Amino acid sequence: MLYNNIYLLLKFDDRYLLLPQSDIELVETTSAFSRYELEEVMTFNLNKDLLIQPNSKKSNYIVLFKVELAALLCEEVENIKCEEIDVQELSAVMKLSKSPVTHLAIYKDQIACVSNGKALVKYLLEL
Amino acid sequence: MTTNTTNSKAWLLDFGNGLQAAVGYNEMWQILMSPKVFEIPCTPKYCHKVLVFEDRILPLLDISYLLIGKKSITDDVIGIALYQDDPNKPVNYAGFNCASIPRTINVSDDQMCELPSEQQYWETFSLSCFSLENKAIPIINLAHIFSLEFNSGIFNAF
Repeated sequence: MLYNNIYLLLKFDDRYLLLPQSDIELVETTSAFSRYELEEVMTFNLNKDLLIQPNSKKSNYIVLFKVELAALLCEEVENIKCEEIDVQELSAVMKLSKSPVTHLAIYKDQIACVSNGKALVKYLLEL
Repeated sequence: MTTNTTNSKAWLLDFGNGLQAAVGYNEMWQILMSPKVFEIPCTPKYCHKVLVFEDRILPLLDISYLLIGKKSITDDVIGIALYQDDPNKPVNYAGFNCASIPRTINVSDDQMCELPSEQQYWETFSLSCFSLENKAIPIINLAHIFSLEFNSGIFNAF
């Protein structure tokens, strides 16, 4: 069950990822995020399989998590109220212990993966 | 003395790669032709896609990959099955890759047989087995395949 009122919808490499906004420290444009700050933060650029890929020119935003000095690069970021999206539990048959994906949601004509800051950062640090 | 034989209707499913099995007549909900499917990351290879059916996101299970490690060739024919973990809980739905359109069959008690040794990969997943056209056809235990109990076991290694 998810209790957060607002999600952040991140898009990268044709993958939509929903995270509770309460798990995010800040969202900033990559151009505004200073070189000094980037060196301090572990920054991850993921492909649609949630695996690390080389930095993309399409990454316009950097999303910094609250739990660690870790951040995710993405192409688009959007706020979504929880009542605007139907979040459904991932079927037991699809669950893997190391997966950060806890739920799925229908977003427009696509499927968004749902995670949370703690699970996603734990996954990223083990990549 | 007369022998009472029970006849039941069932669906015969062909998963390709020589794999056939049956589910109860009331366990198959619909057959979809080439629905839009979506890949989901960080999921087992035998169930890494979903489809949207009546506003529900359903897992799409590749039985062939689960049993013998060979992927289904296409997503052209998908059976929507239903199962119940617990009689007090709502019914769940799930999709199966099929190699051809499922067909209805009649099965009687006197067709029941043992699961052949060369099909032991079905053992964990089947409730029983019957003989049809000189082939042993397992009856799938849907609730077990989709249970958390089963999926938190050895198959998390995929």
